[in-house]
Amino acid sequence: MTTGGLNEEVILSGCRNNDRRSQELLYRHFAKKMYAICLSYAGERPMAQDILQESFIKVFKNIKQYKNDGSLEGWIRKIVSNTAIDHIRRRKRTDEYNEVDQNDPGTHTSNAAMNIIGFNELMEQVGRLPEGARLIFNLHALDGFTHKEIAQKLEITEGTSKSQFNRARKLLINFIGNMNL
Amino acid sequence: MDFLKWYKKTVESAGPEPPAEIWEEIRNELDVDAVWYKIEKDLPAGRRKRILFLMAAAASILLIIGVGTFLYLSSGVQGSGIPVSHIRHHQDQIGSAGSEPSFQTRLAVALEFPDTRQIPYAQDGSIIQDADRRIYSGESLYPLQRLEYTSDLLEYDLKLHTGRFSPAGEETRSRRLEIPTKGYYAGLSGNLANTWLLNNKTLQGLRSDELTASLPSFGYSFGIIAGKNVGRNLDIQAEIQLISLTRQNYNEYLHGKYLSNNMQFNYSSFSISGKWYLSEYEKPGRHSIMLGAYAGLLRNAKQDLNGITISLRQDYDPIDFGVITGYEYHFPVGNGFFLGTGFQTRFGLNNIFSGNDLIPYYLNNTRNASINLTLSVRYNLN
Repeated sequence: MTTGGLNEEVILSGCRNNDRRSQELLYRHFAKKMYAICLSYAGERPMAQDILQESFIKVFKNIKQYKNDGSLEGWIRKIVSNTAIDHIRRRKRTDEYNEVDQNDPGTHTSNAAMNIIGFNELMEQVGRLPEGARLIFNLHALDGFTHKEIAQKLEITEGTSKSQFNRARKLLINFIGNMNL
Repeated sequence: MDFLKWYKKTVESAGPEPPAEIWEEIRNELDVDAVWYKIEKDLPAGRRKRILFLMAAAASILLIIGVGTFLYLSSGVQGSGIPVSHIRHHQDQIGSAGSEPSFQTRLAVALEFPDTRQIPYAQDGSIIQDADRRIYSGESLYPLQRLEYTSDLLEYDLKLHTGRFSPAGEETRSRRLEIPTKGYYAGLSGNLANTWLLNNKTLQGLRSDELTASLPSFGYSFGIIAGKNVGRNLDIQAEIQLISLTRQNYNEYLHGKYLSNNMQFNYSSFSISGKWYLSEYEKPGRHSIMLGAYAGLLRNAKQDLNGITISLRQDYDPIDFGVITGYEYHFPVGNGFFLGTGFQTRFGLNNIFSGNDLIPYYLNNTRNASINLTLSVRYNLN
């Protein structure tokens, strides 16, 4: 990472010393990407902004724990996804991940739609997903967690994680397919 | 095009800029924390806590001494209890007019009573008190065993000496018992404990297929004990643990890496227990089981997370209470001192996690539990 002529080591060193300028540089470098991830988890802007804010506070308070043994972006993303889980947990109890949709949505969407649709349109459709299913979908699709890991994080069964992921994926494809483009 | 790849690419590459005020909020939060950190170091809170703790400890000690003194005085016992002054064993001629005289072994036990308390009689009425306030038994040992008030002393002494009595002549012995019967005792106690914070995370951490790994954790405690014998085989014992250290170590997979956690809670606690003795006095020591309750006051709590120490004091309830069960073997070591050893289990009944900004209290139900090896030394005050 190079930002404003400074390399990652210099910025990290400043952050570890609680230097505001270094913290701001780090924030500016990752904020846009992390905000997009927050939006995909939250499905709405106010909650996404809360998650982003809380995540970066955690990043700066725990920056000394980062030992350069993995990518800094990956470490921050883990914090963002864990913070998103906490936020969603506060709104919904674990049982609600098990909600069942009786309607099996369609599974087809066109490549044309995927080529045309932009971020904002996509987030609109993501926001329509049930909260629990959206969380599981993003943990798997965005952050690459396995269903076993998701089950452990959310204290649900691996089967529930898989079924909710598939359900979210089908719903999202269906939502996009039905958009008036 | 693969839908998931397209989704990931779209999210990661084309997001909007976050509102500018988010950074302002983050900076404000960090500034507030920084200022508080600087202020906190200068606050004399630690000193105030130590003074409060010492005052609470002193008040507890005075309370125990006061209650003990009241019970002692109100029981009517004076002096040093009821020492056995001597035991006489002799033959008396028993017979009635016109019948053949016969000899029957009789046993007389004399006790010195320092006050005018009424002496209980055995059920068969064979115990009498003469003008010199001496008690005499009936025809055998057995009526004596039914004496409610003096039975412990008498049984102990008589069983010790019966086998050595000569059926002829008179024998007088003097003895002071070391085992307390109506006694008070006080002493010091210490525990080495295998401690647990029982919650979903630490319980899951016991499973081999979990990423979280709960580790054996050890604490310790020491304090003072005081007790009173209130029945034939029953003591009531109070204990103040001035320091009771509870730990829970676990490794957690967090933020893509294993982090070591060491949670440490320091309590001061008060407990009261009933101790039932399983063995009689003829053994050199006595076995007992105990059941009681405790209440602990949280003095401080902290978590060491990969070398970073944070305070948990605000996240946990200041009060912990629960039940105690245990076993103890104690034996005399001379001059009125006894040494005791055994084990105790303590199990908290309340959820000590009071919640924080991130996790409400009901999502992290946490209880204290421990298995303790105990060691105590006590002195018989009678």
